[in-house]
Amino acid sequence: MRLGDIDKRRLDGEEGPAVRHAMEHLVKMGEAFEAEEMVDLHSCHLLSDYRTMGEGGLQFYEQLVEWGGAMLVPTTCDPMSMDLKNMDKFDWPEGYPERQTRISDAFRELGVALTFSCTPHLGHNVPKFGENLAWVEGNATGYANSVLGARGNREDSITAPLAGIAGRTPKFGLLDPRNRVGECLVEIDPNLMERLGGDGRRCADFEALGMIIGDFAYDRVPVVVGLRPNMETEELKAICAACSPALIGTLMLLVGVSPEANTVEEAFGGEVPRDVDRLWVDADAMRRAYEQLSNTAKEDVDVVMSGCPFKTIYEIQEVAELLGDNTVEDGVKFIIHTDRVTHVLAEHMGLTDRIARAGALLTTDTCEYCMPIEHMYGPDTVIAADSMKMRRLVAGEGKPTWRYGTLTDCVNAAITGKFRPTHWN
Amino acid sequence: MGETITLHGRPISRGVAEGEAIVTDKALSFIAAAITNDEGIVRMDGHPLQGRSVMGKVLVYDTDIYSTGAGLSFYTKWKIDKSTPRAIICREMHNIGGGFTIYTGVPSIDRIREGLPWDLIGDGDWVRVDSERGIVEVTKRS
Repeated sequence: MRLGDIDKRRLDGEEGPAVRHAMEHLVKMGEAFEAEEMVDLHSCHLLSDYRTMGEGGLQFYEQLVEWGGAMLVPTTCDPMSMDLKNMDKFDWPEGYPERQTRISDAFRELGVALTFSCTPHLGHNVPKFGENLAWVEGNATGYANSVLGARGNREDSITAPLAGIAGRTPKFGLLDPRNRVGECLVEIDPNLMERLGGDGRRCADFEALGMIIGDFAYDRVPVVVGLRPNMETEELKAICAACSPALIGTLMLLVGVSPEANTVEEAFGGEVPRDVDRLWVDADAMRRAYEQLSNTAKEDVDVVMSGCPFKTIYEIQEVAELLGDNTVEDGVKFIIHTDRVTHVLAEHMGLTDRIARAGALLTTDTCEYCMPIEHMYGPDTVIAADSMKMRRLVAGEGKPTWRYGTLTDCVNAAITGKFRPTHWN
Repeated sequence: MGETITLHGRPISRGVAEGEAIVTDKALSFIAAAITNDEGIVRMDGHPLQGRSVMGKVLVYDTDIYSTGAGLSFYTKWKIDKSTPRAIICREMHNIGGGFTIYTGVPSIDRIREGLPWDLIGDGDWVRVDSERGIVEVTKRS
């Protein structure tokens, strides 16, 4: 791998021990993954939650601070393990607030914008076409690659901050345009496309579609044809949520949406290979996806959650409208997730109060994935959700059971205590 | 002892380690929610390794799925809980697995030339990974 003068200076320690430490790791990464050169980094997004990183992660960040580390590029951060505005609403394990606070303290020292959001691409870290990213958070990197044309691998939570401190990163994977070419083809039945989405159904439908695409493509770059022109931001956010619970990579070439896929031929780098592996997605595939995402047939729900990835302000409006004058059933928790910036906006618009009056909770900066869920909910807890990403990431031995459905079905479950699917069942 | 075969692959994290193999042909994640930090037990829903520990083993799997948080979860497993595998062999190493094995120095290797690693290495085989030289020696369980 070729190193520029700037790389050599940083590797030699001329810019301090944190930069040298970061460069040593990045050079090993570049050599292992056969990068030909290091390139400038333009943007960074870091892991924040104590539950995932644990004590080692906390010590890792504090060590970078001790060495004088500072982010050289605009840097935001992912959700944390707690909702500091609603500390009394959840049962946090002992020691969590102190440790989560130490992570925030380290981030302040490193110069990280404390956004605590899994949707930086819709807020305070919007990359431009062709920019190089070191982002954790697959859904965000998926959107940045697939919708905005920025270049980022599904970066690991160790390498991302080190790249931000070095301001450089090895050019391999999706940072290299030679790898941004379709490898398989997904065709969406026009009859299905007409039925997807709409009020109360956007998130569940398009996250399920993303899962179908991702499960088929796995570690290949899929070219997707048949999406509507002028797809909504929330629909695209939902499709890109497939990047990690289904798709191993973070690039979907969405024909008519992705800047590198104006046509199907362009997405394949010139022409569609005659023997390309194809998937046809129709209403039956969607029905199977919904069925697969529920792992219980129980009607009685204990918790209803929505907001993975975090809700936009328009999606929060939608929740308030669906709740209307109804109230959440006694004994059921209805939790909606967003980040602190959007939460402030929701407060100004009166949405937080409307949701609270109904007996639901709009949280800030966290979600069931980041929270210590085993501590909070046992395996007998039944959660209804409209997020495939949440369902897949949180499922497993000793964890809650799930019903999957649309936002409308989830809101009705919160109001009645009964999950009764009306869509794709 | 059974027969020993030698395989060749692409070194990712350089080093030498050996141990008993635990093998799957499926993707894995090292996030704390998917593999516990304290004992290295796989908790992914329906995964063939669900309920088994990867601690102290030579782990063979496909590639890294799920959260990018796996890097720092793996670091905690390595630094605090000592619950990581001794070495890792993947069909195709994701940069997530590359990142956490390189940073911690746990030897790792991928792209085994002789075929798919789960076809060549079985559960309980004794495996020596020399990723300095890109070599894996497999002594079959007799």
